[in-house]
Amino acid sequence: MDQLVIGIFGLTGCAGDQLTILNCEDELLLIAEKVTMKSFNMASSRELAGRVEVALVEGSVCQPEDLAMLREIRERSRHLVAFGTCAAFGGMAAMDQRVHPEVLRDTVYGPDGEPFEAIRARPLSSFVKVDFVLPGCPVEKGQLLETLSCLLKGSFPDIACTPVCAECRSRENLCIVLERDEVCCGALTRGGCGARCPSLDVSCAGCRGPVEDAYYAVNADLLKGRGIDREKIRKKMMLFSAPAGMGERLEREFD
Amino acid sequence: MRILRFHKSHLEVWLDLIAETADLYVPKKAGEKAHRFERYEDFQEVDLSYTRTILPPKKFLFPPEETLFSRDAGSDSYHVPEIPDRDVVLFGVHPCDINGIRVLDVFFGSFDRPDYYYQRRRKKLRIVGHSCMPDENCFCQSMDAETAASGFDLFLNDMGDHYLVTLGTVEGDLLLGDRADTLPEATAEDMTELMAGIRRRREAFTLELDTSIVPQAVSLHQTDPVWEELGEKCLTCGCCSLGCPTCTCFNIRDTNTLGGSAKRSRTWDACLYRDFATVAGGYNFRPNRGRRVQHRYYHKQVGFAQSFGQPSCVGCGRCIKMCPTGIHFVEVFRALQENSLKQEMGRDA
Repeated sequence: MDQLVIGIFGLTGCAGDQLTILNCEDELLLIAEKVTMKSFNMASSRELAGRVEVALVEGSVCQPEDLAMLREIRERSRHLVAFGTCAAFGGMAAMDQRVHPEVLRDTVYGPDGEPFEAIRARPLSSFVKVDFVLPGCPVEKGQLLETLSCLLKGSFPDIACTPVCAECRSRENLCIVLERDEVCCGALTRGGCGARCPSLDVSCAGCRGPVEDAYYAVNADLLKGRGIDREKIRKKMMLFSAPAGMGERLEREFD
Repeated sequence: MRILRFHKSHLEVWLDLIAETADLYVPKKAGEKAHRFERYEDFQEVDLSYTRTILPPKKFLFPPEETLFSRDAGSDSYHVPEIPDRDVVLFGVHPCDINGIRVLDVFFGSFDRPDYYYQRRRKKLRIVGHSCMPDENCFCQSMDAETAASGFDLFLNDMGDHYLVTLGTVEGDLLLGDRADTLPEATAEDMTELMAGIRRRREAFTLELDTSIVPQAVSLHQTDPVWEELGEKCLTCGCCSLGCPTCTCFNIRDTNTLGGSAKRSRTWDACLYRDFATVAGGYNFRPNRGRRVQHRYYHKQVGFAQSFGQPSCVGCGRCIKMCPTGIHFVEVFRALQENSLKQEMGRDA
């Protein structure tokens, strides 16, 4: 079988999704056997230029360099996969868009930081065509392997877009909202994690990004109705569950 | 039908005995107020005073995720995974859930080909029923599901310090072991007491659904504003469907691995999810939340009844109890009926 040529690229992000590839310890040799990886900075300093069949792009677009790189990757890839929540929805970098990006930069890096131009964090789909979304912070190892396996056969996997509640209820967990009156983003968030956090008695932070039609207002009303502080709800929902640009709409829906 | 007297002091010994030869599941506490059917380990954990478990017994017959068949790497043939050979005994099942299993039996058994995966688990399932008292969310009485005329192997009527055990099947008789021959038969006095208990229970229901006009209400009021209002309230978390003893929708997925093995599996699905009505080409025939909620009510009360002769609802109250935003199954129908009444009055005026 011909090897599948994939490129692994990171824009602004924590590189956690790339790390997930390296964490597939038992499968790494199998992956290496079937896949040629180009531009996998985390694993190798060898940069191979040229076309790739599939680009896995991690991180969000937060500076002009990211955008230039993204456009260049798109040019030389047959398929582009938004790899992880930042790439798919903007992720943490896009959490609060009310604050000007330059203020964010200055707050984080201070006056001694190396100067760079900061733009409002955006997901890949704001700029280029995205062929497939593999969400997660980081992506689920199982879904990553399934994706590679499907790509080798020329298709994309069927990744569920049902909420975390589906898996949480299937595991017969107690509902954190109903039992403890805590903010839980389960109903807003894509499943696929097996409801890992609620199963460990921790409410869902929404790290896999929003479901296709997330109902922020209904969720906010539900939580407010249970006496939870408005700011607490907003903070938790904006962390991951609200895609970039949702901030202002959330504000409206919260009032 | 034989009814025997069984003193509760023998319960632990009996359960220990059942667990020796079968996989025994009993209601146990989950947190402060909830319960789950879990494997019997310690008699002290058994809580037969429960009202309802988070998930109904359907999880034993139609698991949340089940591999239908799989193929090993390099192989040309598929194989169906085996299930444990031992009987599964479900102990302490309430009448609503027994009737829920009867609905599942109808659904998974009614087509040209009965569902193989359901049937093989069903054959191994033994049901020991247990009497109960309703809470504010129980409306099994309205759904004709407050008693189980059949569908159990044994049924335990709680009489305080003892049970009056109804024998439903030969398998139930076998579950009792030697006791079946030595336990005293219920006396006339026992039966009077049993009937009095059933009457007391009937009077304890506080929630009622007038089912006489439910099918008409759902069919005729497809454009009622109630559905849009519900659409505005529903999170589409799907908890009502997943926790429903009679909801049977599933998704089928094929997955394969880098090593070359592959499998087909089915997982619980729910008609409240957007993806549920997405078809090839990306078209969705129920993109609207209100329509999805309406569809669920219509299917359970009308669609299922038209196909199978009974609604797929046993009034267990799980959907009411579990709904995070407080959508109340019975009140939805009340609202429909009220709207219908208003329309009638408007017409007469």
